[in-house]
Amino acid sequence: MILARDYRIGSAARMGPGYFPMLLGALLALLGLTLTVPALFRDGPAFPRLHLRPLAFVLLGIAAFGVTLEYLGFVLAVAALVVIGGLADPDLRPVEIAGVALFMAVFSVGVFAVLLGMPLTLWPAL
Amino acid sequence: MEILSNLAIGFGVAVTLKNLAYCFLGVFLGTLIGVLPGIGPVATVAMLLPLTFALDPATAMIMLAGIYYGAQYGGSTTAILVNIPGESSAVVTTLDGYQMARQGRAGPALGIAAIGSFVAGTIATLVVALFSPPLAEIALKFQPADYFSLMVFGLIGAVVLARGSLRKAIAMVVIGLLLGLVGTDVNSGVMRFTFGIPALTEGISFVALAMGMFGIAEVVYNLEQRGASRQVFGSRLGSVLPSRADLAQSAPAIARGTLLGSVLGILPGGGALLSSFAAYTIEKKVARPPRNFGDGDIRGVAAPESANNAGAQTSFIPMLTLGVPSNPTMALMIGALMIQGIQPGPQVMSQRPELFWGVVASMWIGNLFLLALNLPMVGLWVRLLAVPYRMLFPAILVFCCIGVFTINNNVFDLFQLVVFAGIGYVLLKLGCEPAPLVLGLVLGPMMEEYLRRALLISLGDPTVLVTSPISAVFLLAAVLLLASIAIPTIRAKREEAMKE
Repeated sequence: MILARDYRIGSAARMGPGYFPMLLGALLALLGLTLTVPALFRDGPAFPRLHLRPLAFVLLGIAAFGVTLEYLGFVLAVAALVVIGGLADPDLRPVEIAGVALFMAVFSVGVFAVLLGMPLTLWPAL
Repeated sequence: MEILSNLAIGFGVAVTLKNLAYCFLGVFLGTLIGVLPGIGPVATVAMLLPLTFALDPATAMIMLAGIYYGAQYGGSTTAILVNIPGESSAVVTTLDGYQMARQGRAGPALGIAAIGSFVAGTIATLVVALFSPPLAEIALKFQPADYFSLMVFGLIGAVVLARGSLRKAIAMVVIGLLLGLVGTDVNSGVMRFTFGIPALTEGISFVALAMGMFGIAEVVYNLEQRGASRQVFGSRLGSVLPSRADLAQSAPAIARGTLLGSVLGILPGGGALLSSFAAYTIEKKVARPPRNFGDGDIRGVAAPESANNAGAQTSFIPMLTLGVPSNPTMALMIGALMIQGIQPGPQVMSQRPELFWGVVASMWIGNLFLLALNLPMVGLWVRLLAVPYRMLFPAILVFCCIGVFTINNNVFDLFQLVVFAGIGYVLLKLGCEPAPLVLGLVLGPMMEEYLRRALLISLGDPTVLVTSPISAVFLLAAVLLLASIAIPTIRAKREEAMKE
């Protein structure tokens, strides 16, 4: 049931700046052991099923937002996020998603760029 | 009366056109986002945080506070109408609130939630005004060692009051503390755990982390809860004004809820969530006649709603006077203050009285807005809830991303968001609460700093932590708190209380 959460963060210590992290690293390793060792000797519920489709598309959508924002501007980034993120939902309706994408793009530009005057690059630099 | 003159300063600050406008805007936006299912106060505050950057500190805090209790109230609306708690502190509200809605009494349920919240907010604001100054005075005497121990106590408190496994919660705190250390070491300038990524020298973006774990992870989690029936009871809303009999029945429940919430809100890890659970449990035991709890009893809405608002309000006390957050929302507030260039702590009250008292005064005004906004505007929220989730969640994603991006105008923060959303989702699945982790993240650098200073003053002698009386008391309290969990009967009680 419990994953080996210990050792994920190494306690790479340098003297001085490494003092506190090492202290914490040791504490975490100890806790990790107290969690994992008993877990090995007992039957627990299986690892919960991860639904990968929603997770993957949502995360992909955010990453796409980041990349698109840098190269293609804000409007297309919002559209990309909505469309890719929208795929996370199994009963996707293309027309609706297109509508939401359009609405969100207009709305966000209106609120964040026009009303709040945030310095956003809206369109791809041609 | 010093408090009156202080409050006068506060109202002087709060009742300017600008601050009133931002207070109103905060409450409105907070409620708007808070109504969306699956978006709690933490995600709402994180999402709207960038809106406040351009404001001066007092106005920014006033707006953020407005967002916080707006989100709190928005969550209750969702709980009553859709049976989906907009946030964890509204879970108990679903029990009786949704039943009332099914019986066609959604109006009075929403009304009593607003009225209870207002009464609780008013009283809790007074509590904040009364208790903060003496506390800040004591806090000014704190030495570094005392601060360190106070934070240890705060974190232990947050862990003990978290739901689920104690050891997991402690592990979450420690991971949070470690994550807080990422970035440039203040004393030596050494880069720690940055893996050579320049953007990480400033540390991990705590907004990206909070948003990932509380916002995005929740969205993903909601997406897989398909098929759960969501029926919105809006058509038979009826009058939002509770009847005289409703009011008479609710009054004692509101009073009890307020009292409980005010006390629990101050505790580390307390705040709105614990307050509402405890209030419902107590109400079920003491209310006479006990009758139909879980079956649409108005007191089952009034008590937890008052308690969570009172708790939300008084949880500002440790944040404003000690600079120590008691829950993730307060951690965000501390982050907001730091972005504004203010080091939170007891000196805030003496150095920036207009900030402190302005925020306190605005709390009451904000609650007034909440009441004025929600009674007439419930219809609007109902219509918002009628929008299917498949169209709402992309919009939520867009707001989260824009919120995270605009904090530093840095695309790298978005990739942090991706990573933390993924981690947050797995943690959610494993039953690990993200709240202690967020607290650890914010407190990590502070704790390290205080520990270093304490050991510097004592010339490396660690016994300073127990020889200083204040520090010793905090550490003792922390140990007692931990020990109390180990005692089987209390442990059973805790598990029982968390299950409700």
